[in-house]
Amino acid sequence: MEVAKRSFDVIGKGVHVKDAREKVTGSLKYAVDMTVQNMAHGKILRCPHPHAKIARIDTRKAEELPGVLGVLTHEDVPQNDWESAWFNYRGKVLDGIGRFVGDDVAAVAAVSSDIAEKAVELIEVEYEPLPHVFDMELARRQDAPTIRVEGNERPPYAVKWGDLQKGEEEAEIIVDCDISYMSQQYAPLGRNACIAEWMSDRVTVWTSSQTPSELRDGIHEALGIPLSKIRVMALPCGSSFGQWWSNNFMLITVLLAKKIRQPAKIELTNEECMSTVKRRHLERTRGRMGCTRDGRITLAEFDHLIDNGGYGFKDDVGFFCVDMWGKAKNGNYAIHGINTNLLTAGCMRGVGDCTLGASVERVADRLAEKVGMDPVEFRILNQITAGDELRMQHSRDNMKGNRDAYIEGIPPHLRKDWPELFCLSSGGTRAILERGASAFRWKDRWKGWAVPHAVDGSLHRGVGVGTGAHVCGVEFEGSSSAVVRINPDGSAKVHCSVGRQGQGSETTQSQVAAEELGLPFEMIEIETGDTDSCPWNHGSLASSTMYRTGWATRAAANDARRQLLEIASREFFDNADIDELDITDGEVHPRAEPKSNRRYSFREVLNELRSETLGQTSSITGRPSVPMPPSTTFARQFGAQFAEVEVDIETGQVKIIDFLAVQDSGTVVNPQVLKNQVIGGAICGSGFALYEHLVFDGETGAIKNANLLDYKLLRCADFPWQAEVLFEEAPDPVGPFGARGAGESPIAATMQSASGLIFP
Amino acid sequence: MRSEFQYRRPASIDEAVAMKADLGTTAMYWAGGTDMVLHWMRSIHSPELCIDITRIEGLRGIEIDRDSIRIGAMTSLDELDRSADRHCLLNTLSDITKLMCTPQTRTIATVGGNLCNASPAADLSPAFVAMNADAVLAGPKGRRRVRMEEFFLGVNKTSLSGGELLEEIRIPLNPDLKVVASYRRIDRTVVDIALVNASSCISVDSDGVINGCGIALGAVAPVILRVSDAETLLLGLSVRELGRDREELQKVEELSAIAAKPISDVRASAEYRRQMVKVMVRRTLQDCAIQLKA
Ligand SMILES: Cc1cc2nc3c(=O)[nH]c(=O)nc-3n(C[C@H](O)[C@H](O)[C@H](O)COP(=O)(O)OP(=O)(O)OC[C@H]3O[C@@H](n4cnc5c(N)ncnc54)[C@H](O)[C@@H]3O)c2cc1C
Repeated sequence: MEVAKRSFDVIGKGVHVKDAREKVTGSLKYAVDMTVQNMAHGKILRCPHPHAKIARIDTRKAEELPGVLGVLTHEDVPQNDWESAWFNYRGKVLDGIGRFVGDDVAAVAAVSSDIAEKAVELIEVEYEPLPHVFDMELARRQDAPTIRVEGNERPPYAVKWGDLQKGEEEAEIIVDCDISYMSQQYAPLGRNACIAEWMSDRVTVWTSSQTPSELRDGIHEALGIPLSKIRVMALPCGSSFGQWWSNNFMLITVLLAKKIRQPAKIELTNEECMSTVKRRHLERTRGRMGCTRDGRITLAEFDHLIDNGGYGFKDDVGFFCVDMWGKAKNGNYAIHGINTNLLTAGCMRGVGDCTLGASVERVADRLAEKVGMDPVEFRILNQITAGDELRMQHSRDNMKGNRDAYIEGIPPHLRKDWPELFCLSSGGTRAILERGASAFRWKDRWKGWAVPHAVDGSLHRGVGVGTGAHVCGVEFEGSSSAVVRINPDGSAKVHCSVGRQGQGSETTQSQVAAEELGLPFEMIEIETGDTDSCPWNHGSLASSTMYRTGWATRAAANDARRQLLEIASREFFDNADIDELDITDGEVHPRAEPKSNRRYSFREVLNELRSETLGQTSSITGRPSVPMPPSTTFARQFGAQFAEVEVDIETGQVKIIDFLAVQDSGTVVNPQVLKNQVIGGAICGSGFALYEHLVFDGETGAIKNANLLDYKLLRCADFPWQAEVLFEEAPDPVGPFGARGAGESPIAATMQSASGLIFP
Repeated sequence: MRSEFQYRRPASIDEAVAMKADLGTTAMYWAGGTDMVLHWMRSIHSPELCIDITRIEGLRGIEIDRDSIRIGAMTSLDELDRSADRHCLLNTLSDITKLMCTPQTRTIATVGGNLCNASPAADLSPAFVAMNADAVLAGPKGRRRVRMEEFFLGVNKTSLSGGELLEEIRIPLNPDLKVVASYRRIDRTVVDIALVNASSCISVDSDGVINGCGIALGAVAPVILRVSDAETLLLGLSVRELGRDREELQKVEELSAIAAKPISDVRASAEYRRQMVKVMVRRTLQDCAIQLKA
């Protein structure tokens, strides 16, 4: 479906992010900066064993230490399971079993964190060690130690299409793979903390989180108290990459505060942030792809394992990476999530993209090499474009749900205007590959497979290309909503609990609202953390914020706009049809006469609702009238990236010399914000491709490099300063003003562009 | 838990060493504090007294005369960085500082602190060893000079004792010889600790014959290693031979690899480190040859 491009007032403008000033002056408050009156300080006791049951726990000595206010153990904790967004955690807050070194065992509250730290050491625990397993291959065996009541492995996320045998017969070349990935750490530069304060049976929680509503849900599940009694006030978390959603230490804080009947704060150390919360999965892809001599893929088969650590529960990683190569008529893939006695693994930016996606890219490149094709051309030939069928689970026979039931569930009136189901709604890689290849002068610089284009002693230089795709949220995540309120003075406030992870969604959501309302950007502010004022929202994750929350914000703004126009029509325009009115620069005027002096500001319109006798003012509240329809699952964002890399073949050191990215996120809402997403993703992706990985102790599974000295993050200076980002803007029929998502495709494309050219 | 400590700021070396001699290991000098604070935060050290030596006159600065370069212990890495054009060895040291820490940290981190912290991976230590430098130590009983390679006794262990303080580093110069030095390290990102490092310092006479040679290796043993047997192999060679594929050079690489006693840790494997010693030593010698040609 083609959507005409239109011109915008606020969309597409590179306005500064709303909190830029606070950030550069250091006044933005993160959770570690927060205090509340009479607050106790908490510390968590951590399990020293990879797998152990607490046989006995004696807290008396800790409690006797002067300054200690109370100790929380599993005996105090309701034994309810709670779940973090996207199966990143499932379990009880504390259940008397440690499932990895560093797992939460108990917590102490004291008048100072020093005393709490000392008291933690005074808790006497008798552990009964249980057999443990670190290797996911071993963990899936029948005789493996059981880590979870649900079993270490559940049925896989599996998709099959076409006729595999036919695909194999048609293939003239087949390439197999068996690729293992190390685990990346989110390694946010900011630490996190949580404060909980109870008032009677109601609790308020301050913490840095990308998913305020999910955290409220988690507290509700764990404690079994009504949602109405829980208020989460999420604070900015800085670049979080998926780490700070709802994390168990937050739930511990809530229970600790309840136990001591006093507000409590738990602040994690850097080491705790890196070794006790979560990380990217360890993954392994086995599979094969086949193609004809002229480079058409006929077969794609992958069996992919991810290790969930102690409490992760995920399996649906990266299906969109296989989808991207969906022109293959026959295929089959299965993704298995397996628990181990390692630190919990969860969704890190580009989950599945940097692993399964990178495997598919790598195998595809080997095929291209064998048929003697340029990797850019091979991608253009085999990757999907708008309208092509997607190979995801719910589009196929063996899906968890049922395809027909799924379609039936969508109201026909909604289906009418929506893109075709199970097909890519817009965009694709063709345009970004062509644009990038030309801007990067790919044809001049690429000298063939494993042929460096420049050699200086031991320094060899070559160029690589990579592509990445990611969903823009999917429909079974629930219905993210937003509210837009127009104030009596004519300013407006957006309420959507997407948190603030530094990527700028507070700014881009405001741009969406400003555009829809016809109000100057400066007149809009936004609340992103308070679950009491914001409707439920999935948070900023799964690259869904612009696409799904942006849709809701636009719908809410549209509803507010409609209400405003109705009042204006009644009071100022003789009950004219509201379609005959328009808003420009915060003023209502007849649509046909944009320059007319019959213009009324928002303030004037709202003033009409004012009670003359009491002087009371009124506001308008807009909200989406229907939840976002399910066909939204079929939008993707795409990135194509080109890198020049220098390898010292004597030492193995690798440097990225030049870099170009072309991003297709649909309509660009804010070019500065999007550029930042692409470059940030590329630095994080090349870090993973080149140096970043956690080191697990062979004996205990403990993380040995939980610090930024030995966990090597790339710095800005490790990345070429002249890196360039270009945009292709294929507008989407569903996304707000044609926008899709952005956060995760950039990191996916980097894996292959930065490392695919390196041959052992 | 982190220790509580008292803080004092002596005005002279004598006052400082007396304070330290009184309390022994429970007192610590504070230079830039960049290593010390981390050690204190992780309870590797639990000082009861912190002796701030940042205000003592005369501990800072670089002086050059006919037969030596003197670098005060309290000279910051940033000052060392900015001394590049004063001498060709300072140029090499300046290049090293550019690899160290971050620009912000370099303004407070000191040369003395880098040496006294005695990390086997420290960037300045191998260069000073290769340059034949001495450490000048001031103590309650007066001053003494220790050869740089004898200054390091182990990880975070030096030959400082009984209240002694590192006052300065002296690099000997011979006005009749031309001297150059080079340093190489394996790192991964712009802010990193060397996985392996090496430094070479070569002096030649007016005929271009190698008259003095220092080769030092870091991060491959608890202390900085000096490869004396390899050094002797190069004496008497013409500098023109340095860049070439000569048997002596291969021997130097091999002797260096044999001298190295690397371990495997989170940063690199012993095998990789041993292999890299050869590459690093070869590259430092090639660098020296290029400098001498210029
Ligand atoms: C972010 C960061 C990056 C770093 N990167 C590098 C790097 O790339 N390469 C590298 O080599 N190092 C690096 N370091 C380590 C450190 O910054 C350097 O070793 C620095 O030179 C130490 O100097 P300082 O003045 O801060 O020492 P301090 O911390 O003040 O002292 C270190 C130790 O030496 C003792 N001491 C200091 N001065 C004297 C003296 N005159 N006499 C006797 N004892 C003394 C102190 O008591 C203490 O035990 C890094 C550190 C940080 C925090």
